[in-house]
Amino acid sequence: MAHHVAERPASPGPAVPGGRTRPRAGGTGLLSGPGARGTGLAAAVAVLVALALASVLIGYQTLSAADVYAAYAAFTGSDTDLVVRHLRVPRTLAGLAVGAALGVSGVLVQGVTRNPLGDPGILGINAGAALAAVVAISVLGVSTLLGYVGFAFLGAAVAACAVYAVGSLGPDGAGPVRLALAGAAITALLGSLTSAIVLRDRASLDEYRFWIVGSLAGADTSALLQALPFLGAGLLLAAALARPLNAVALGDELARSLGTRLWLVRGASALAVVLLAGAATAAAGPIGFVGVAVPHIARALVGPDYRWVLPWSAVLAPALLLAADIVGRVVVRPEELQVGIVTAFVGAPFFILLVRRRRTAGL
Amino acid sequence: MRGSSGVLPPGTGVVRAGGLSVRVHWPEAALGALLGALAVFMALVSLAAGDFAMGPEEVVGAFTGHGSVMATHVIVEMRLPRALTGLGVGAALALSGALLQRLAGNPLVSPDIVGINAGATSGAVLAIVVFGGTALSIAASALGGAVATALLLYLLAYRRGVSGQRLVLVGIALTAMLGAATSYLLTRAELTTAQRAMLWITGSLANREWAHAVTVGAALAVLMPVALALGRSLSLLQLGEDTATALGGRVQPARAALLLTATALAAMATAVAGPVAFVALVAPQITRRILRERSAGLWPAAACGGLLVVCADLIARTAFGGSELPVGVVTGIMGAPYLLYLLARGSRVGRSG
Amino acid sequence: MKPTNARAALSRARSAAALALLLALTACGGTPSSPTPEAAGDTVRNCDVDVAVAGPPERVFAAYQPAIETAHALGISDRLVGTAFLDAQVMDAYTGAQADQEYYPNLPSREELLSHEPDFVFSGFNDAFTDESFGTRASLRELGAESWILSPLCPSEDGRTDETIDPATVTMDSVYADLRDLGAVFGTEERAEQVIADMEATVEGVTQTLDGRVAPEDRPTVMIGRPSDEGFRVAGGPDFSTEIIDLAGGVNAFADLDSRRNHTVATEDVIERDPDFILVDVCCDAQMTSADAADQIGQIMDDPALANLTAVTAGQVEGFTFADRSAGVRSAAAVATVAGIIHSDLFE
Repeated sequence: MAHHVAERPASPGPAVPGGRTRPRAGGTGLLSGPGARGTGLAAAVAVLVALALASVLIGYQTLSAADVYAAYAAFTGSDTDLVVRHLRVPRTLAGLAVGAALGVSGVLVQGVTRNPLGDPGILGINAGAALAAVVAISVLGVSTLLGYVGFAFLGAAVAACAVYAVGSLGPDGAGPVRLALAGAAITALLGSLTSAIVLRDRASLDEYRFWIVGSLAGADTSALLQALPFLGAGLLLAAALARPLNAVALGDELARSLGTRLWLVRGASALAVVLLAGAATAAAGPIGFVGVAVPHIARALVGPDYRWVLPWSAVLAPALLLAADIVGRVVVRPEELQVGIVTAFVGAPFFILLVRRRRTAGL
Repeated sequence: MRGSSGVLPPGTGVVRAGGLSVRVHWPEAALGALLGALAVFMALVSLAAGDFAMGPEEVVGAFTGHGSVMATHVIVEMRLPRALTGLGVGAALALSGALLQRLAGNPLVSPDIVGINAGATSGAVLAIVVFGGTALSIAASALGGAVATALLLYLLAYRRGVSGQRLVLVGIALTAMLGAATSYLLTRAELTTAQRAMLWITGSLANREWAHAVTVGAALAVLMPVALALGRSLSLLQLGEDTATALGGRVQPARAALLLTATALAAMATAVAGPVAFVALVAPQITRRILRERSAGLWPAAACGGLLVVCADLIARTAFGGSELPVGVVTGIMGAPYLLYLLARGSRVGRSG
Repeated sequence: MKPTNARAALSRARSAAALALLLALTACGGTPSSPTPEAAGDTVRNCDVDVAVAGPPERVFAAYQPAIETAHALGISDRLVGTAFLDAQVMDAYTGAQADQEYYPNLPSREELLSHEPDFVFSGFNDAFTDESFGTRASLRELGAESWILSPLCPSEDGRTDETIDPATVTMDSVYADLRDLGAVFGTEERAEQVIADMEATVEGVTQTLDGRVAPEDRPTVMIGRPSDEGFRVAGGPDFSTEIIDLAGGVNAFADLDSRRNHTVATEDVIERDPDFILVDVCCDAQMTSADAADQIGQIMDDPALANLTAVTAGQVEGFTFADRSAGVRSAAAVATVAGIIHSDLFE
């Protein structure tokens, strides 16, 4: 989970009573039938495009579409041109990329751990990225944003590998609950180490407390370009995993009898999650709630079939993120609310409503 | 909630299945006494240890009125209430964890399942950052946050009864919101204020006074007897709801009363010391393993919790030079490897839930 | 540090000091909540707390940059039993004296503080005297330790922090008044007057140089801040920066943000305000100097989004330290430093 306070080790995530739910056979969401799902997806993409445009136009100053067009077609180097090219557009692209990455990695984590509360944070991604960033700042003296993005990604990857390794130690390999438990324990350990460092080093606390909220405001074209290959590879891998995840959802034994190689699916999913969530967290800090909530929303709409849940999540998550970012820019002018805070405050009530509306909150 | 059917491992004595007989389980009592004595001994040790260097005779002098003003203050007004607060907080957290783990039939449940940590943290950080509060107003605000969150959680999760899963899902959402609010407050604060808030967030016994010790002591005095008395119905619950109902126990009211007790214990402990990691989860586990039983006795678990927190705080206070670390860092760094060790041993912890 | 004009203007400053003393005395009839200290018998009032001046303290603990530097300036280095929490290197004149001190990078625990058996705890920032830090000033007094907070940061009451600073106290005169009172407390009145006179001379030198040469509407706008993940962290209205920039002949570009001392603003806000100068205030360790701002200056100069800023195109992004913007003995030199940067044509 995104926020330090939410990273307490005893997170009940893995221990949910009834947590190991299975998709009801033939279960469907609000949109049933491939036609409705497909049309709905097209509509969702249209909404996403509209939000992306709004994200470029709305901000400290409201711009017009003509301004944006001019910034690329007739660049004069004016303030408006610079704002469009170097702030608004990179920030919007970052929102799209980070959102898609978080949404898809959330689906993968929930699918492979069969834990409806799964979040990329479960694999220690956020905690690993945070510790690495803090070490980079306090021990290695890295002072630029770009400098610690690399460290954060590395930390996320190492933490996820450690969680996966510990989770696989048992006799039956990386079972969902063991994985989640290993994640909770390692997250707690890394969180404590991070606290120990930031409490003794003011400069890193000063960076850490801003990093931990998650924000798109620092989006930077070069950092985005660095993250792109990882995100692309992660998305491709995720696309390939849709069908195997459907099998995994039926339970280990049934999946095995259908010829699914569980270790391969789990390993590939973990790799994709590291690529996606690791890059997203490194670029924007830990943005909470998107990874956990969006897959739920997607399932509520289109049912449990991963071939639909994955693309829907890839569209809904960036839409949620961009909408939250736009809200954050306008509510406390001239300052900004970080997107991670808005996602929590917009997403959580919506999520609660969803939980209350569904008869059993089953997944 | 998931029934606890099937969690009764073969070979474990169903000694307490009757539930109506008075249970004097002597290994449990002995372990409780031993751990309790150890905890008190470590509390005494911690009176003599610290940045303000003092020999045993000076410690005694502080109580007999022969010490210097500052030495007496350090012993009587700082180390003693701090040690007592540590004992109380540890006991309350462990008790809460033991109750919840038994209730849920799940060894990995701990009090933040009802949103207490997130609520208390937001309350405390609000008091520190916005109101620059005093120690007691911070504790009061934390308690208010914890209670309000727990109530809101039950309210939002209530829909023709409270399903365990809905409770957890709503809890996640509330936790995310409160976590975001806390983080936002941290970014608004001055750096030094953020430092103090971070201490609280990590779980700390620094500068705890008599008022804190008395608060947590009073909570235990009221709630521990309730917990022990309700322990009987707990042993019924352990058998699974169906069996318990068949045996005539009134399961629902007992469950609600235990949940309330566990919540109140954790809320009081967290209000006083912040969210001290892992104690609620680990202390019942340790006693359970020593006794080789499938669930922990409440009394040994409480003693174990007190011992853990006092030891961890002694380390936090003395092992890092002039600027101490909060106790929560130490319990986190010690507790996580223990959980990993349990996992690596392939214990039933990893297979349950 | 530029001790420019200090010696030259000394004699003039002496008379200015006498005038200031007179003003301070006549100001004594102010409102009771005024942080202007009132000498009442054998106590001096500091942030609504009476501080005894009976016997000069012999065991002083100084926390935060301004307090540590003030202690050295008042000549009580040999009475310090501990120092904590520097934001930057201490002023050149005191590096030798500071090198001998026991130093804690963070605030020590209350117990560690008490282990030095201090009889005076001196803080340059208001959050040392809260329950979770050293404890309230009243609680320290019970143990025989008097205490002091530099008055431009007076909290609303003992035990609290700085959300409620009275902007009227964020002035150089508050610093002088504090020095004078502390001189009385420590029994180093003459040294205090000397320090005040030097500071006044420095500020007066700047004022004289600027006098009549910079029309109010020509005052450059100055942003004191540093880049962050989310834009910039800048000093707002109630921060002492505003006073320093004002005395140096500039305007704080973010003076209208007056709810807190420090604010995070969006990059677009900076572009909109287009400050003439950006001073990058690096912080926080005992070795920090304004030269450590080089990385962050480079970051600002190379940021394509900021390419049109006046400060960037004119090469007017300079190093500064957080310590320079804090109220204390360093503030006069900070005024001279800022004036030298923003009116480089007038100050050689």
